[in-house]
Amino acid sequence: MRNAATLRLIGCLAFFVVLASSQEDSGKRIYLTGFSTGAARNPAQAACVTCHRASGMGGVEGGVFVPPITGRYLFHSSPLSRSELFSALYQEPQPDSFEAQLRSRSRPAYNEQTLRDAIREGRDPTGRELSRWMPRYALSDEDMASLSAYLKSLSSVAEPGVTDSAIHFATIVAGTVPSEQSGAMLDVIRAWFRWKNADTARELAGPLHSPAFKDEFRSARREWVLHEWTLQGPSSSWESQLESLYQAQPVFSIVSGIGVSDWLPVHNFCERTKVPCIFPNSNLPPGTSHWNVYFNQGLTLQAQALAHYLSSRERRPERIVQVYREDPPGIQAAEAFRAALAHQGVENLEDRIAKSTAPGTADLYREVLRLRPSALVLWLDDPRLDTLTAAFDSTHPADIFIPASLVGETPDVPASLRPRTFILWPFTVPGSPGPTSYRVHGWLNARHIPGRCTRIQLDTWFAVSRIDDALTRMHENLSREYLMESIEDQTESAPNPGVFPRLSLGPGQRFASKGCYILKYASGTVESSPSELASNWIVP
Amino acid sequence: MLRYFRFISALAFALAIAAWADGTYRRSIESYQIPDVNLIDSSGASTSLRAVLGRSGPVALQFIFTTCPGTCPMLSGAFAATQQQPGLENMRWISISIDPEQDTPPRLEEYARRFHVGRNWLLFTGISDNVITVQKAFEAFAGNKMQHNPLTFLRAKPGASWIRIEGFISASQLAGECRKLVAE
Repeated sequence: MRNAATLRLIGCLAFFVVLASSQEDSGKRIYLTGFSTGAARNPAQAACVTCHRASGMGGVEGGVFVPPITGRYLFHSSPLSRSELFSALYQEPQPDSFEAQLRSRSRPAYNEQTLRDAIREGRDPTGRELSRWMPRYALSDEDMASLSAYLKSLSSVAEPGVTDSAIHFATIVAGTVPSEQSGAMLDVIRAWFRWKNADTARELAGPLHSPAFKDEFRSARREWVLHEWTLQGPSSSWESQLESLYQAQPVFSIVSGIGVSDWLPVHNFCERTKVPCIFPNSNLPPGTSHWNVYFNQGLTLQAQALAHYLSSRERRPERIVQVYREDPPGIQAAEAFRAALAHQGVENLEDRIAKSTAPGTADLYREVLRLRPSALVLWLDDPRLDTLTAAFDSTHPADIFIPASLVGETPDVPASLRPRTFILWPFTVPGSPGPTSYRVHGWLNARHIPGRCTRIQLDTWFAVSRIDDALTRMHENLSREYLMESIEDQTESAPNPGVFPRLSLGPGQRFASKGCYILKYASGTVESSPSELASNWIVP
Repeated sequence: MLRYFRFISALAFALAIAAWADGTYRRSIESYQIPDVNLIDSSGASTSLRAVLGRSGPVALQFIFTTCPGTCPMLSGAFAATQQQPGLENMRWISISIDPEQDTPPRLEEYARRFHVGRNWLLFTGISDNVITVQKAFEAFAGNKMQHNPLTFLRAKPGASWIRIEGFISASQLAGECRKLVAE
């Protein structure tokens, strides 16, 4: 008898759980698409997500304040706390109607009835009319209940990796990475976390009721805990390694990271588990993404820029040969180059596969040069150009193209080949570092971090600084969607350390730098670094 | 699919808002020096901005970007709802992207299809520095595109002053302003 009653109780609970879940799903559909399942479409019905964003946290755009509409905000009174006032005064762009808008942010809590009034008639709980840019929706009672259920769930649960006192992050060293490079990245991240936590401890140790605004942010201050995840073995095993590491210690976000031989498993893991991965040091980003944000599209970008450059030349090359290894960087670059050339109507491309060991290079180059290419593209991290010199036919010289992101800033190009060698350069023009790089070098010096792998140090500094800045703006709203949106919104105005000429994102954008130069060696000099522009900034 | 739905609803919203909601906007008369720069149209062709603005008829100009979630759909929605109105056949509508490296000519083409851009409505992108120069010339540069203000510029003919409209202007208000220009 007791068992039967228990079963009935469990059945009832399961029914309500399913009902609530389907109600949330239905509300999510209204939120994301503007349409309910059964209702006729009203063309004036915009999706809530258009302005309030996927996080429900809204923002300021074009001088219009779009308020947060997550349950945490809607169903609680909004007395305009000092911390929000600080945000509004100092962290948001201020439109002309700023003060009036600021006053209107203060209101009592919504309930189901007043939320209906707001959505159907455009009135807030005080009776004030909402902005005319907020559409009025003729939602049925059923749709209203669904939308309300979804808003209550939106950004409501603490994200994995966040506790009341700590926020966990990971950085990833994926596979074999030269220790010089992984060390350059880790130096910066460790120092940032050490200083961040020292700052937090100092703020929290201070007396309460200080006249300074910082007291208002005490509850948002957490210890930053860094987990260094090192992936080993073949890249096919990385996703399961990441899964185990994440199960053992969930993290809120991945901070930077570095991978040379492959990155796709890390990317896929982050997409699947919905963990933001912010500006890793990788040349190998795939094309589409939601949770991964990159500096640029790596080798794919360089391949597309080169295809654009070759096809735009007055005299298109008669025969193009590309040499690559059958590893992820080689395959990604070669496939992207082939596709980009085909898009430009260039079909005369031949492939040659390099063995994974260097000693075969001389034979390979002899074979390649027998094809008499007019453009020779080497997607190799160690192209061994000294072995190419002997086979190089000066009566039928090829232009040689090598990607700087694989061979480094000062590739080892023999003097005899320099007049024919071009470097794919998706970075700032050499010799123009920009003012922020001095600031970052000062930051590194102050923390006794030796200078090495400059690009990695500067890029890692940018990655951590973006997360720090975003979290400062987010206060206690630690939603991963909100993190992505904050980074999308603020990257363009962030201090750019100068590795890339411009860094800019927008809603849905995942590559902050979008172009590439092609450099050549200055003629008549003995310079060992390429310094002259052979192209403008190519945005393919 | 979801993205498509989002977009359709956003466009419908922009058109509907532009059609009915009379906005409160600030209107001023300004004089701008048009910089001598080239921009790139949605077919990929390079064109002189001075040549584009040098045409004899009236011109309406806005700064937008194609991934903009709220502001730009409303601005472009006003153009979309006004461009075919009677009496405005001679107007030239110009939208300049303030996110030029993202908004390549194919992306501008796609944006044009979304807003049913007619033959008198031209969309431009360009080299970043040139686009910044143009924004500065119109006192419209915000530093970060995510913080740009809603602006519409109107001019009756070459050499005439510009009407600077700050804020969201409805389609009916924009049509009214444009008819005054056409009558000049």
